[in-house]
Amino acid sequence: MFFPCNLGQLFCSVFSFVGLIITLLSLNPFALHTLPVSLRNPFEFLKSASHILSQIFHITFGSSLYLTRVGMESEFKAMLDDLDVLEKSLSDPAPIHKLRSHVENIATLSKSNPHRRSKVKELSSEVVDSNPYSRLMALQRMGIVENYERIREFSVAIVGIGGVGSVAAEMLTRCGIGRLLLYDYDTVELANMNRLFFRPDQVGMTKTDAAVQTLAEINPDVVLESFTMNITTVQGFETFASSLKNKSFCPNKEGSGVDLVLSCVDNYEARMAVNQACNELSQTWMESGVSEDAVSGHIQLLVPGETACFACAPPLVVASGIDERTLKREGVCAASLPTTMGVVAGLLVQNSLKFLLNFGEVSPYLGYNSLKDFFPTMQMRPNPQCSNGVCLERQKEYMLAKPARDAAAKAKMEADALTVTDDGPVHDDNEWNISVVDDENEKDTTKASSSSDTLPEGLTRELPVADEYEKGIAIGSGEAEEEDDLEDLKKQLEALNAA
Amino acid sequence: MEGWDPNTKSTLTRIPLLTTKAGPRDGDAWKQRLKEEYKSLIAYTQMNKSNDNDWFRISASNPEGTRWTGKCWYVHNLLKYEFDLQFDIPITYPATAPELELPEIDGKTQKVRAFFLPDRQCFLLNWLLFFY
Repeated sequence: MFFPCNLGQLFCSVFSFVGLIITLLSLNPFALHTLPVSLRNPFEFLKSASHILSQIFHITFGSSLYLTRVGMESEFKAMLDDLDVLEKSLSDPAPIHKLRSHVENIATLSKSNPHRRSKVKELSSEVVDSNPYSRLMALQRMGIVENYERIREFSVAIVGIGGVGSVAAEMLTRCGIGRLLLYDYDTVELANMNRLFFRPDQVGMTKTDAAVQTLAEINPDVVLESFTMNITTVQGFETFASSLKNKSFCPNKEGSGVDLVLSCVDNYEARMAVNQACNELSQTWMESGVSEDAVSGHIQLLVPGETACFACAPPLVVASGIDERTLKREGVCAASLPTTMGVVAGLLVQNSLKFLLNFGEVSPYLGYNSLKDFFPTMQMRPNPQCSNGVCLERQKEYMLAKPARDAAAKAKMEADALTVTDDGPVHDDNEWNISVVDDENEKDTTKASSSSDTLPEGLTRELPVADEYEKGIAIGSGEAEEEDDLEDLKKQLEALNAA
Repeated sequence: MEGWDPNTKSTLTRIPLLTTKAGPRDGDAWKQRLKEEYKSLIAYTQMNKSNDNDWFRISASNPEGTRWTGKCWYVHNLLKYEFDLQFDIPITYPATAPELELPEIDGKTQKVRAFFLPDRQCFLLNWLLFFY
């Protein structure tokens, strides 16, 4: 009963396919030669030719470059096999010879495309062109980093995969970081193309997906985890905090599951959310930001309790009570430059590498003013009147741990002094009787007296000294005088809404 | 509060102020805060009704009081334009303000948005919830 119908459909599809093939063949220089063959052996030819054409089409114009590159070799092999079969079944193999040479040419072209490299077990310092880590491992030989291979043990969370975050992620990926956690809820837009990293063909993808696609191709050794969500909502924050706590990557690690959190977000709410999570987990993090006019930026290291948290010293715009959203109106957008964002991302990752791999000095705050090429640095101590309760707890812990810290520092100094005395005199003879006069103590006392207690006449200190934890500051919990029932209030509002 | 227009100021002085500083993650303190939020919302809605400049309805859509949904409207040339209004209370509230969403006019041109979302109203609601 369904036979005629099916047959009709079959005919339709066959005829439309014939039409397509004839159109395609007519574009081919050897179309005229193949036409008689197709008449002689129509079905065989249709089947094989359509297969081959679809294969060529798939490989040449395939929408996903990544997928075709992976399966390309096997596809070409299958195609050549098909051509063999076709060649045997035909009386005039000349056009098939031509087709075959074309396919072989494409196959060799495809081989010149870069392949996805396989994962490596250990970072090697062998200097060969095929070693992706030789230049990084050379940092050890140059005496900059003691043990570069440790980088594979580290997990870094990047919140905000925008102009700064995506570039920072790429830098860390290329450095061979162990694991990256990426958080963003936005999608890639054409308006993002003035920045680095994302490509126009990724427009419409979520930033996390697009980033994972690119990063996995750049370095398959990095473990990538992505979270497409808003961390400021109650649910998003829970997921964020638990993902930071997850220790499956490095079970023996102390504290949380990540070594560093990088905040690359573009708004105050998200920064405060990162601040809250890191204060709660006692997690060291770094803040980064680029100004609205795209010509300055900054990075900041935040160690809960030890340095100022983000709520300790709010940005000027927040401190002066201006709603940030008045700056971000529809039709008016913040300016951005790939240069400034790239510089800030570079500063951020450089500071991260110094922090993780323990070399150089980690900047507590580094500003960048591109108009004057001015790079101010400063240290920010925690605010004993910080509005964030967890920050005050961390400050207290830090104060209480001061004796232990001092003892450790003293022990280290003594150990250093021992190694120095072991060295002995550098020169045996001292023809000119040159001697080094020890003026450290003298300097220290003048410095200490001028910086600690005594202030010049007429000056007073505005804030208390932060070396002691202040107990007096309690957050007003505001005991309510009358006990109202939440449900009653709810009903009252409902009644009012219904009226 | 400097720089606010006298109307906003006088409205605000008649709303019970919030005294508990707590966000959605502060447990019982948040419950207390929620009560205060309700009280000020009730007072403000009543005031709007009595002054005949009612312009929104909002109520919590989850028991924790972190998601709020409702309607807001604007009357122009005797025509009432009404829209869905929704927002989440961020975990850092009240240090940061919630972001009001009007999904129906999301993505519309600036002219439409400016027309239906006068800054004064938007800010008033923001600050109502924000002030403590």
